Amino acid sequence: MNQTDRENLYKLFRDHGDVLGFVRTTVVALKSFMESIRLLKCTTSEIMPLIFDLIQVIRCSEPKIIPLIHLIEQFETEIQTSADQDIDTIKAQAIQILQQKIDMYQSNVQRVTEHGAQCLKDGDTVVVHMASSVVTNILLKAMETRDISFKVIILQQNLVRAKQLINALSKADIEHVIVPVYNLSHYLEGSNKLLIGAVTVTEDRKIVAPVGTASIVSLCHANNVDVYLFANTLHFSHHGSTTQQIHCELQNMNFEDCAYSMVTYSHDLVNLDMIDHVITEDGEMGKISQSRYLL
Amino acid sequence: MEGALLPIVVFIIVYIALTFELVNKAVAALLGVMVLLALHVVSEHEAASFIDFETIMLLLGMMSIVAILRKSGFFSLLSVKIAELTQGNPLKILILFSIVTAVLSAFLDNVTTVLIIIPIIIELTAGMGLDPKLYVISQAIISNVGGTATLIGDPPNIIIGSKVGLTFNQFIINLIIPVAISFVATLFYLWLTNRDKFKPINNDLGKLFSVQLLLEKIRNEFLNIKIDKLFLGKSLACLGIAILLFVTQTITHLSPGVVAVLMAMVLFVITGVDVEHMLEEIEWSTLLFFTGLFILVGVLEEKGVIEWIAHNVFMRIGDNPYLMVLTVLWVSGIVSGFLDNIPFTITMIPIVRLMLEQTPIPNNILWWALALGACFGGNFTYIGASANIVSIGMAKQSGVNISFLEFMKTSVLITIITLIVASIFLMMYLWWSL
Repeated sequence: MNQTDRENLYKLFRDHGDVLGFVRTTVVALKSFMESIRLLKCTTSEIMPLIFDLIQVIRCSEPKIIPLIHLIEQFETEIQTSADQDIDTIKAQAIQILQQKIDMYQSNVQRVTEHGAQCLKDGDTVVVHMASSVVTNILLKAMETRDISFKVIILQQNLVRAKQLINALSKADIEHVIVPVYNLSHYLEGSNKLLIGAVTVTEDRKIVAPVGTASIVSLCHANNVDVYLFANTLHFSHHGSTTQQIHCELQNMNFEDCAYSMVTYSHDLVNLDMIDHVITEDGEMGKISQSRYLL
Repeated sequence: MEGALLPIVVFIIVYIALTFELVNKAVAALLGVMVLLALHVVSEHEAASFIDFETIMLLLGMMSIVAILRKSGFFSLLSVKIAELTQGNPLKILILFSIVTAVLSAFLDNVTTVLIIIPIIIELTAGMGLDPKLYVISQAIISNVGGTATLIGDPPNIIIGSKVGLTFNQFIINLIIPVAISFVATLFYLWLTNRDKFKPINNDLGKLFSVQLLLEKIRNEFLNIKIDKLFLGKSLACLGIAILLFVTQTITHLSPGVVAVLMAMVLFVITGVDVEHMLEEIEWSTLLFFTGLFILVGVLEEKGVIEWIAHNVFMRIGDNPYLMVLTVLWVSGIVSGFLDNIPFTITMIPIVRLMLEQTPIPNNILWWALALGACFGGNFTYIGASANIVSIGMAKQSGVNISFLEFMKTSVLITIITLIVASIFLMMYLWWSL
């Protein structure tokens, strides 16, 4: 894959991440992998190198999508056992393994959702920023399965994401208020929980999260609003934050007669120490467990 | 031609303003009319009598139907389905989107068609690392070719149909063959000159993977509205009934203008849409532009200017019907490439009528020559047709810049090919008719 095609692919990942969140992006990417293997026309000797090339490209995405990389690496190991089969068998095997990875990941996500729903209490006022499918499902699940009432403050940053959440909460009759992200300070006193998701939890105790998360977490942390992070352990990286290849872009800007260049990063880095509760598929993860996974 | 100097000067100034887009086209035409009214060249009542209300009604009705169809999400659904069908194969993208563009342009206006197709084709091709320019240019050209097939497909046809009294069926029966051949010829030319860009991607896993992600993105982006199936069903049913009434015009004796406005009003009632909001979607400036032009040309006709042009320019070619047909076709084709084909068609109608009075030509062949010339000719340059201008503008908004010359590099030969196809068809048709 040439450099332009790689850049296009990484941009596609980011675009999906912005709209769907990286949990759903991971599933979409695995399904796309399956479909592209199904459509692929090549000889038996060509298929494995093509699969490994694509895995290598996915590994280097900007930012690194750690759950996807973990699952793809597992797939890489497992598919190698089929390398000496005929093309149809390899394709069938590859599709089957990828489907298993999707099922496993979705099961993990489901378990995080179930544990997450237990974190909400009657009378809570929770702040939500760039709600991922996990956070949305936690709110819906809590409303559906537990007899509690809570209020959601939606911080509007990305209109598409906000719209998805508003529609979901309205449908479930969950009380909610939509406020611009820069107005959070007015709502801190009445709020008691901030719910976030993350692309990655890094080895050096940072999380890679959507832009804007760092300042919101800091503000909530400073004002004693408990910060909850929901991420299954497939989101945990064995590498530090500096290796996460967060996409950086130099944009040429123009405002009236002023032309300037602006550097923008696709994601924020947040210190894990500011996060009070980390919820994984096994429930809340204490500091000791975190350190086993991380440093 | 007594008292003709002032209307001629006003008409030329309006034409210059339209060609160089000095002011809004409706303002240019209506300002010209106002000058003639203020100088008592024509009275208000006379001016109103020059307006062809059949054309205005047909445009108004179709614009309303299209506005409601757009709201129904039908076009988004259709274009996403087509994108999925292509599976990222460059040749399939060209062929399938071209078929959709041609069919949509035949039954809707060309600008609406490119407004639907261009964003999705740019998203798809740019996302795949292909050059979107070729696809944008091809769809603009195809929309003009497809629109030529029916009475409602392109403004010159609407004008010819209304002013001359030709039916929907007459248009489709007489024009479908040259349009279909031109469509195939256009695609073949595009493939032949860009073969290296249409290589299949099904042996490239990376590209296939990107395409799958891209298709998912397109689904999220273009289908993020809830599709109300009942609303969609009502809209499509009304469009279907409108087309049925166009086709059965000789039985129902309902003119296309009446059918279009009738079905639009029925749609407004049964869908319960916010009428005020829908009315904002109608291109009032285009309707006012048509109104102004009808009056300007009406005044020229009344002052004998049109007759003078017909006698001194077009009738000088003699009474050979083959030569007359070819002259009307190629003059319309070339002029429409550089001037707006709407005022040109309005101007040409009385001229063709006078030519036919002098030398009758059977089966309305001279009118078909005018329709084919004016519609196909719009492809010569990107200022030749509104669909071209809109397509280039949309491409620019997406960061794809297509220059005047880049467009012409592809479009000139295609226009010549389509005009040659039209010439051969008309010559054979005439030979068979005489």
